Amino acid sequence: MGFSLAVHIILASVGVALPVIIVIAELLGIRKNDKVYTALARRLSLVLVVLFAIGTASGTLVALELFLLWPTFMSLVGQVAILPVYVEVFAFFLEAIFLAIYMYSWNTLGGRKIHALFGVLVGIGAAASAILITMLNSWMNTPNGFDISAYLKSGVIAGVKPLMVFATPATVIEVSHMLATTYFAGAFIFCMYMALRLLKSNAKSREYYRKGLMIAFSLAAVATFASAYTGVLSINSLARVQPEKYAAFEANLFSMANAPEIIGGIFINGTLKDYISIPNLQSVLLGSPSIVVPGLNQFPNNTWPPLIVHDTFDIMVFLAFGFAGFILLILLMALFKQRPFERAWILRLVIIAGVFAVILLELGWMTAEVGRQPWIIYNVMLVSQAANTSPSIIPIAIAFVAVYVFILPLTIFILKRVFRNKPVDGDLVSY
Amino acid sequence: MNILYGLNLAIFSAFFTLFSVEIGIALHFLFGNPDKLESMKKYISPIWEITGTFAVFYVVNFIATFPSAIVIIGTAYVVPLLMAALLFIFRNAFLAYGVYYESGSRSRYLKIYGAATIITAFFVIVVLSSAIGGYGFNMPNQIHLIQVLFNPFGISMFFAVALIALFVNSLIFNTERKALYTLFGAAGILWAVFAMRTYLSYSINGIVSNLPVLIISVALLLVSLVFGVKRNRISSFLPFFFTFSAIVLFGFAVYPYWFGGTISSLNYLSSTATGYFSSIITVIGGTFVIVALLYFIRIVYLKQRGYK
Repeated sequence: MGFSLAVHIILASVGVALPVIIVIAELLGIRKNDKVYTALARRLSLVLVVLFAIGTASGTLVALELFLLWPTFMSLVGQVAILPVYVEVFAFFLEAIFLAIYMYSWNTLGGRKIHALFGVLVGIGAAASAILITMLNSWMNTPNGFDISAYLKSGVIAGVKPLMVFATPATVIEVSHMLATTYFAGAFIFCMYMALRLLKSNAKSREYYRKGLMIAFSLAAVATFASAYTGVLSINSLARVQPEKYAAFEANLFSMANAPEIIGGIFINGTLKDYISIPNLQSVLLGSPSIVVPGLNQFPNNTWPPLIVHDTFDIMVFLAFGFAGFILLILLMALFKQRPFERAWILRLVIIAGVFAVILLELGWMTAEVGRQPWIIYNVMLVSQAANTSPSIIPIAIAFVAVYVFILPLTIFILKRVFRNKPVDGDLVSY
Repeated sequence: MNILYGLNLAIFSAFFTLFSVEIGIALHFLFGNPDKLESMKKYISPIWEITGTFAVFYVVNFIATFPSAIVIIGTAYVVPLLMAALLFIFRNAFLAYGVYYESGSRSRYLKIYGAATIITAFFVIVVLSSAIGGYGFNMPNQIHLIQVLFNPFGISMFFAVALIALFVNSLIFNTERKALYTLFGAAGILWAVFAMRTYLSYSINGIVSNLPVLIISVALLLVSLVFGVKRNRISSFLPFFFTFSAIVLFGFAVYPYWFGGTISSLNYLSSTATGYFSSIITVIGGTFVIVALLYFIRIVYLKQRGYK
């Protein structure tokens, strides 16, 4: 399940960000009457379709895995919290139907603006899918909408208010952060691709890739700062709604006021070693030095998350600062007319940034999910209570990994072959 | 019929209608009739994503409709359903490769797509047959995988569906050798009815006891057949109604039982407010999907007529 999700979130990020890039390219093509932008939109829409195919399959797989590998969990979800997932199906329909229409109606039916509108609907469907699925995750972090104490006492599900699931204490901030980071990672993957091609391209196709990189980078820049802002809100919210997780992220063994910000370090036999401590900073970041931060000592040992999340969290924050610095550098270069994307060293850094964007996405997801352990639904259901423990699953799980290992490189190979046979120069002449 | 069950059946019927047309196309891509492969490729190119989305729709609706059955069904059928999901990845990937990246309708990718679709259909049909007929499954959750995979009811239904799918495709795509495909269709229908009579003896009573449904469904089947064979502007669409009605009729036939008539599915229906809200969402969302699909069909129709 973890492997499927790890693959799926990359595909989903691309699937959410790519329609935005395509629509911007198409609208710029219409507004400036520029066939480079139109060619960009058209070629990228082919990439979108094949990634949608793989993404849909991996999404269906995740839905089935939830059902088959976590039956007890899904049984409770089905009775209390299924509505966001259910509405998500219709967002998925919006995306699928309008993607089909978008692909089918190039240069026909109502003109180019209407065609771009179909693209906007694809983008709305993709973003809405991501938002609604994250709502279920927010519910897992801060469950509501039923009588939890009655459920814990007797296992009876009562007092169900299914609409409350759309607005748990974690929903707004978690959804905002997820959306920002999804656009961030998806856009950086395309920055990486465009930069890679720009380094290798001939004079004719340079403009194509440069314009592609400009669009993807603009989205990435906005999404990076939105991710940083919502990330700060997210950690502050965590201190209130999931204090145990917060304490593990911050390596707070004890609850205290004037808490220092602890950076790095390794837990050895329950003691943190080799860390940097900045006095009072943690309390200050939560509002004021006198604020008492949550500590793991407030909770029983057997419900502590694995403390490795402190390090993954710190690496994540470190990388986020790195991205913000890199983007500021490029923006400053652009401001002083230094033409950053004409410089090979910047393009190489963009390629490296693309790889790190994916690492950051995975790290963020891993930190958030491992940080909830041992709970699948916080303070309601343990992972061990929810899982299907049948040994017959193991060979199939191995087969899934093998299939992804086969399909993903094959998809990249086929995309490369198609674009090799259909060079950009030819497209620029066609449109 | 219970409304939640009815909505679930309608969603399943919509999904399986689209999927059974795909089964027919997959058979043609693998073994078939070269004269209409290009038309089939043109059909599958815009529609395959929507079929896949209906599959997800059905899974999520099932969770919302029968939440307490998930523990039983999820545990019992984990292996064949995960196998189906695995093949579904192949189906999507190779169809996209074949449709968007390889010219011609006889590509290797489409053959792999065809094989993956047919094996996926096999797993889906045997699991459904086992869940309905109770083959290979003893309550509470003892499962005999070999009996599930090779249960006589499931195998019969798989072949019946394949034959009917070939027939339906011959109507939709107006293929040659129509007499042969009509024979296939008749054999498939007879085989399905015989299998239901033999392996699910209660199912015929299920049809007879729902007389209005029986009359409407049979009328729809007949109208679809007559107009399907006699070509006109709507003959390509009527086989969809034919298939949809046949699946709804099957749903009424087995209603409300699972596992060979031993358990009523109504025991597993959602009893919380979630079920009520999910019905409302189904109706609102379903209306949106129908409108969007009609618009989509219009665009496909206009495009095929060369409108710009």
